[in-house]
Order: sequence, then structure tokens, then C-alpha cells
Amino acid sequence: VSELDFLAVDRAQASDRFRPVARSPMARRLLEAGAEFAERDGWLVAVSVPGEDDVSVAIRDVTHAYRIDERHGDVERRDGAHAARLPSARSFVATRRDGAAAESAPVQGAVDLSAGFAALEIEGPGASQVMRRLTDLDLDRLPAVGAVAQVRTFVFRHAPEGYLIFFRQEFGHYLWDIVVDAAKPFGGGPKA
Amino acid sequence: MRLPPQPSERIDRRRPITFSFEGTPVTAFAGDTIGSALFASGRRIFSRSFKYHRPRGLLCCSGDCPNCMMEVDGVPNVRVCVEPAREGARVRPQNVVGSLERDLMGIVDKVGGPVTPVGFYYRTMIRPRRAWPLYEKLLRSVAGLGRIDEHATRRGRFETEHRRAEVLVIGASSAGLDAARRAAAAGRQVVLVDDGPDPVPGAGDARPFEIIAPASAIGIYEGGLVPVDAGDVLLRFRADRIVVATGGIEQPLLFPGNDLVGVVLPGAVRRLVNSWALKPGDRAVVITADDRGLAALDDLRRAGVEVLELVDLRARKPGAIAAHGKGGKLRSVAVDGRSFDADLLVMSGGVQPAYSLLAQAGAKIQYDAARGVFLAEDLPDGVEAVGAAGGELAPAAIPAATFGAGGRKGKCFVCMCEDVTDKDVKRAIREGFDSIELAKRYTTVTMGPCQGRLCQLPSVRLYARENETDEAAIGTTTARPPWRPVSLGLLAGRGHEPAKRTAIHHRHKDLGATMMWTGAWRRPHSYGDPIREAQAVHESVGLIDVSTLGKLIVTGPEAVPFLERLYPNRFGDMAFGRIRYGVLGTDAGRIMDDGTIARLGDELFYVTTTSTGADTVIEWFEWWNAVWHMEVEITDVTGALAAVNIAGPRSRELMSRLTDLDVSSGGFKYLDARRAHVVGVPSLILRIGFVGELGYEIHFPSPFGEFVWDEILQSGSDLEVKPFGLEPQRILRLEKMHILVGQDTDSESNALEASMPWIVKFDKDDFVGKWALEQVRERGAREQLVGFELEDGVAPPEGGQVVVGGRPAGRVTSSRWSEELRKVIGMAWVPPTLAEEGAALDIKVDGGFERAKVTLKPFFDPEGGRLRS
Repeated sequence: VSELDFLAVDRAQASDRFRPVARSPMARRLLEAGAEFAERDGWLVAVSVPGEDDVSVAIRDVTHAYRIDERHGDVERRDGAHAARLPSARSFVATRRDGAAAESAPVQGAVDLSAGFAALEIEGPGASQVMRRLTDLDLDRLPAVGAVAQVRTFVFRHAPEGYLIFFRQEFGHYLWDIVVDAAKPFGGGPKA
Repeated sequence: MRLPPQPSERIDRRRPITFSFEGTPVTAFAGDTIGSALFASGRRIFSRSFKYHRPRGLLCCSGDCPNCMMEVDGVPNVRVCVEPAREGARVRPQNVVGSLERDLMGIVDKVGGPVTPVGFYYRTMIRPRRAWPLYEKLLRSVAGLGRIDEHATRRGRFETEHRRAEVLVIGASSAGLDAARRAAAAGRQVVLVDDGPDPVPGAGDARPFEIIAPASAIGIYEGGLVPVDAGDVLLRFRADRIVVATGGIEQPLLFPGNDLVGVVLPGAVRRLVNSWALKPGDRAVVITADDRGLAALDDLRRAGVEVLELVDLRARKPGAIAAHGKGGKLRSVAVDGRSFDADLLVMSGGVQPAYSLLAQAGAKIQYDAARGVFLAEDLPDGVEAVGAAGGELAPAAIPAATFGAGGRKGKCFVCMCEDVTDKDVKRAIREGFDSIELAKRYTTVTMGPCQGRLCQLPSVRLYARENETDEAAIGTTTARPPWRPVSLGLLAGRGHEPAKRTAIHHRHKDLGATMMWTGAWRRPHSYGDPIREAQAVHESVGLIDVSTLGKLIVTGPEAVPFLERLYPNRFGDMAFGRIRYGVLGTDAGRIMDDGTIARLGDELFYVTTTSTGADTVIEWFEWWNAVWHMEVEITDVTGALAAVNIAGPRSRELMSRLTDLDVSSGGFKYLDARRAHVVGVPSLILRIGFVGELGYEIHFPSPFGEFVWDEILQSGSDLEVKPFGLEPQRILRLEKMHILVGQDTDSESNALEASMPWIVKFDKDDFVGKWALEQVRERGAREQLVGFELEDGVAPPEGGQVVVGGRPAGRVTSSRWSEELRKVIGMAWVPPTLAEEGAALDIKVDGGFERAKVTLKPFFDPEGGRLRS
């Protein structure tokens, strides 16, 4: 382990003795909702949730799907990547691990913060109204950095009625509960 | 009884609804309000007044006045004239002892007037002082509005929704609808809110703009924020442009008997007849200052009401008007000596523009002497007033402040909400309350449920006349939100209280931990037996989740000078892979946080902070970095890394099973930092020992929290590894006399007096707080943080007094029973003269004193042999 590798989820090494598996901070909530899991690329990922076919606003835990780093300067948005400006001329960059923008080599000066963030998707008819009950951010001007249910987040729009929210993982349990609850009146619920 | 179908009636006669009033079924139609249905059932008395318990009936039918307030489904103070009738609703009167028709407290009206003038309780209920609780209970039981059920539980779900609009129109008056249509036609995104029913029913998606109704704008705040009460949802609108079309408020006339049941405003007639097909009375008198009274006249005739007399104040100004009744209901009206047997009196004192929202937005309110109303002027940017709210009013007479009774007696009410009469106002003026703001507080006029809608203008007229001045000189009271009543539940909305949980949180719950708050974090207090958990650390090996520690990466060519400027100690001389304890001080030399600094490379440092101080320290670092412009990058990795501490004499054995790293005492020394895989997870391992035993703090990516925790417990099961919580950790760290910032220090503590002079390097060029610490060094310590022990007795309370010569001289900051040491140990701030090994301290405990002995070295393993083993 060198330099800042101790931050990197994908530097885990499976062996005969140990087989590390990464979990999202929201995995327990999904488990309690009856979700079934499978291991994918070192992550425990929900693959089905009871009743998910009936939900109109889907709440998805997509923590496993993104590599997140903080780096110098502006970053242009590319396919599968989401970027937001931070103070001190830095950027927050979230890249889909399975997307075209996934990078094989780390960017110079970037700090891998994948382990520090969780990610949620809120998608479906009524997603905007769910969001409006959680944040005063202007949803017509995304991406934005701001509070969702009093937690600092990075909010992106990934579909006309689809939002992607990144936030510090220690708020995962809290925010999951809040978002699922807010989505209930609109027929929302967890979906794998 | 209903009238035949009316052209614009709002009721659907094919859809009956049943609700109950005091347990008796009442039939309504869809489109009815509870008030209209009760009126249709024959009810005329709707409430009893605030103080005198006088019968009151429908007055405005627009939700402006207090006369129809009832309890609906347990919710008090509901204005039933605008509350839609709904199936199964349970309606009952309020502020009544008995029934609405026979209220025992009505005696107050008969005998109370002369002895209960405005403010009487300020003068008569102040002695004897100890009787005030009794007086207060009596007043509260006699006077008031509805009662809140103290045992009520949450009835529903309240939400807050953040909305945006290019144009927000408040009010669906014709001017409001026109403004909305114009803005929509110009391509603007328009939202119209109105507190009445949908003004364009059935239009559906064909509307050119969004309509939210019924919904009430309750204020206008800075930045164009308009909260809108939409029932169970509070809509927080941010609008580029706000159009206020709140219309005007019909004003009553002031004459004796003006509150009798059957005295109504023109709007009430219009709604009763046109919206709900109800006949307001049989024989009517109309006294009006404007065309509204004439419009009511038409409605009355169409409804078959006999109109006995019309008095148009524009043409004729009577000297005396009086209404007389029986049982609180109107029986006759006298105008200049002529008496009319009427059960209905329609009075119109003109219209006052509803300017409150405009005033809240920052407009200036000025009196227009020509029209006799207050108008909003100098509107702020982005706010527009249209229709009556903007001063577009039909010509009207300015009524007299009061109309004499023509020799007959009777109460003339200025304020229906608070039962304030013209005599009360005159008395207040005589007592010197001649300013409108002072008089408001003394008389409570405008402070009731109507918030001045029906009493502001008439009371100002009365003040002007009695003070022999004009209304402009009197002015108005300040308009404050809420403009419409709003429930506290709606304002509160759903609580969002962010809680942080570590990646191992659920494992603690699985193990039966009792959780506690530390800042925003949820942490295990213990797993059932804190003493036993602490002993496990001494005897074998313990495991604690310390993920909550703040964690920073500091990197860059100037990382060393940056840290040396922030901390009083030195870092440039640290070898790679070594750790140093650091105390962070403020400009004033006070301790703000502490933690460890590990040097991982030439320009790379890993800094830990306390759990609750993490956010402050990160801001502190970034702020100074912005000030000093140094080549340093600071990255907060608090949440990215979970951390556990394995501590105890068998922790090395356990570590050797978890990693291939050489963890021997020679290969991995005390205060070393190493990077290695632990159970296959990339980790940073710090050999430090907050709890005083051989220990390893493992920092690793948070998503592996549960995995690492499980593997450690499994790998060490034969070593009897036990998880331990915060409480045992506090015992252990106290045994070692390690301070807890915020517990053993406060906002005045500095490193010198906290017995850590060794950490302050005065020979450095500069560091934050250096000058202040130099002053402390020069003046000498005023107090000192020391340890103390009690061979027997109870642990003194934290915060307890240290007493010298009978006077408080210090305070206990921490105290615990140590099972390992078999005695009570603690830390305390004491005078420097007592900061000597073996000195005696008196500590106040349960009203008595306990004699304690001062200790300057750690209680446990003072030479650090176990820690360094």
C-alpha cells in the first residue's frame, strides 16, 4: 500500500484467508426492506427489492456504480461523468465505473474519495416533487452543490425526471430514510 | 331550507354529505362549507365572543372575522364559513360553558362590562401577588378561543415543498386573474394561489398557468420568499415577480349592537345567496357606504328577502344608528329614531385594500384622506399590486368613526375578536395610550384572530377623532406574518435532523450496544457492561469503532510550515512514518482541538482530530490556508475512512493474524504509522494508544467497515477480543490522564495551564496563538489541570466544585471509578498552589466534602511501559 492507496476501495485484495466485500451505507436499509444481494466487482449490490415493480418513483442506491475524486481545476462533463465546482479551484468528479469515461489510470493530483461518498438516484414521474420537498436548490439549474434534507450534497439531473445525489456516506442511513419517506406519497420506494 | 338553484351556486345538490354538530347529524352538499351547511340547517349562533360570551353569527363568510370559529375534528379555531364540509367531520362549538344558545358564561356580558374594562386585570389582579396563578387560571377558563388537546397526537403529515415561479399571483380576484393571464401570454411561468375554491373549475390542463387553490399566502419575506399554506403542504415559493391581488376587506360600521347575530357584511349576503342558495333573513335593512350594499340589495330581493330600508351613506349621513336584539339575535334597527323590525342588517363601511402582504414586502403604508383608506406606496422591486389591493376602489363614503345610539344603550364593538368596545378605546386614550402601537398592546385591538382586517381602519378613525387629529397622524400598526392563520404543525413541517452513522453502526446495534449522541454522530455508549469492557482491554484485547475521528490529508510543498504555523509544536523534524500528538490553539492561545499528525511522506501528512471538532478544524485549516496562500492542499477524508482501534496486551497477537506487516515491537514501534493490507483491505495503521494499552488504530475505506469489524472479531475470538464503547474508553483514557477537549478543557483553557507546556515550542518563529501563550507564560498559571484520586467514596460529579478555605477554587472535569485501580480517579482545574503531587483537595459531593489527593502523573502505567511494549 503506497501513498494514498489506503483510501482506495478498489485496492482491496482477496486471498484464501480474506475476501473483502464493500458495502454501501444504505445496504442495511435495503436488506431490511427484503432486498436480495449479489457481489459485483467487490461490492455487495442489491439486485431485487420486493414490490419494486409497483413503485413509480424509484429510489436506487448506486453508491457502487461511481468512482469519485476531488481534483484541481474545472472538469468538462463527459459521458458517464458528473462534475461540480468546489471552492479553491477544485472539482468534484463522479465517473461511472462501467461508463465510457471510466479511467484506467488515476488523474494526477486527484484524491480518490469513492469511499467517502454514497449515491442515490431518484427517478420517475413525481421525482421533481420529491426533490422539492427535500431541497430548495433550483432544480432547473443543475448540477448544484447544496443541502438536501439539511445534508450537503452534489445534485445532478440524469434524466428529465431523474436526479442523482452524492453525499457523505455517513449520512447514508439518514438520507435513505428521508428520501424513501418523502417519495411514499408519490408511489415511490426502493428499487434495485 | 335552500333557495331554488342559483346561477352561480357552488353546491352540487346530487352529492349529499353528512357531518355532525355536537353529535347531531347535519346534511350538506358537496361545495358547502361547514358554516353554510349549519346555516342551512337553521343555525344562526355560531360562536360566543372572547370576553363577554356574547352570541355571534356569520358576519363575513370569507374567513376574515372570528365569528364562526369552531372545533373541527379536534382542531380548534377553524373558521367554518370557509372550511369545506366533509363526510364524517365532527364539529363542536368552543369557548362555551353549556351550549351556544345557553352559555353560562354569558353572565359576564350582563354584569361584567363596567368592572371588566380593557386592561382591568393589570390593575385589579396584581394583589395579592401569590393569587396570580389563580387569577390566571380563572381568566383563561373564562376568556379565550378554542382549546388545544394536550394529549393529542400527530394527526397528519405536514410537508414543506420548495417551489419557484417567474410570476406568482396572490389572489384570484378579477385583477389577479387578468394579471396571471397577461403574464402567461407573455411567456412567463405563472402560478396563481388563492384561498378560495378553484377560481377556474374544470379547466384542467387547458389553463395557461398553474392554479393552487385553496391555498393562502401567509407572508412575503426577503428574497421574494412567499410561504403558501396549501393544507398539509407548506409551499415555499421563490418568485422573480410577485403580483399581490388580495383585493379589499369589507369594513364594518361602528354603532351600538353592531355585533348582533344578523348583522352582516355585503359579502356574506353575496355568498349565502349566490354560492350556497341560502336566504340570509326575512326582513332586512341595508346601510352602505358604497355599491357593495346596493349589490347586496339585489341579492336580497332575488332571494325573497323584504328590504325595509336602504341608507346610502354617500347620499345621507344619519346621526344615530343602533341595532337591538333579543337573545343576541337582531330584532330591530333604529336609524335616526325610525325603527325597523328586521332580522338582517347589511352594513358596508367601504373597503380597505388588503395591503398587509405589500407592507411585509417593504411597501410604505399611507393614509389617503380623500378615500378614507390606507394604501401601499413605494412598492419594492419585483412586487406589484393590482385591483383593490393596489387601491382600485369604487367610490365610497367615509363613514363616521361611530354612530351614536340616539339615547339607547348597547355595546358598540371596535374589535369583535377581543371584545373591545368604543368605550374601551376612549378609556385607553384617557389613560394616555394615545399612540396606535401602545394602544394596540393595551387594548389588544388588532391582536385577535382577524389581525386587524375588520378593526384596524375603524379603530384608527376612532383614535383620530378622540385625539382630535387625522388618520394620517395616527398611522397603522406594523403588518407582520402570518397574513392568514397557519398551524404550527405546518410551519414545523417534517423534521430533518441529520444523524451521522459510521460504516460499522449496524454491527454495534446487532451486538446490543446502547447508542448515544456525540455531536451529530450516533455511537455505542457500551455493549452492556462498561466496566467489564474496560477490563477486557487491560486483560486481553478490545475493539472500538473510532471512525468518527476527523481525518485530513495535508499535502504540498509547504505542508510542513503550514502545520507548524497552525500547531504550537514542531513537525519538520519528524521522520517519515512517525506520529506526533498535536494540540490546536486559537489566536488567543486557547485549546480548540487535539489529535495526531502522521508524516507519510516528504510533503504528505495525515491529521486526525476529535470527533466533534472535525468540521471546525477543517474550516480552520482551510481558512488559514486562504489567508496564508501557501502551497498546501487539504482534503477531508473523515467519511472516506472507517477506523477501529485494537487495544490490549494481546492486540499484537491479533494484529499478526490480520496482516502480513511486521508488527513486532521492533518492526512497528510506538508512534509509528504504516500502510498495509489488513484482512485484505488497504489500510493505514497508527500505533497509538489513547486507552493506555498496546494498541493499533487501523484506518481503511469505509465501505469495508462491517467486513473488517467482522474479520477482527472472528480472528480474535480465541483471544477473547471484546468490543468496547465510549464509556469504557472514557474510563481507560482517564486512567492514562489523556484529556478530552471540551470535557477537560473549556473556551478559556490553554496548553500551558492544561499541563502540556512541553508541546509549546516558543522558539518557533510564529504559530497561531503564540503571542497569547507568551503572555500566559509571563503572568504565570492561574489554574492548573491535575489528576486526583479518592481511595474511597463516590465519584464526584463532573462540574463539581473544588473548595479551598470554604470558597470555590476549581472544578472537576472528569471522574470515574476505575476497576483496574480500585479507586475513584478524576481530573480537575485547581489553583497552581495545589498542583503538586500528593496535595490535598476538598471536593464538594452531595452537600458534603470528599478529600482527594492530587496526582500529576497518569494513574495507570505512568511510565508508559505497556503502551510502548
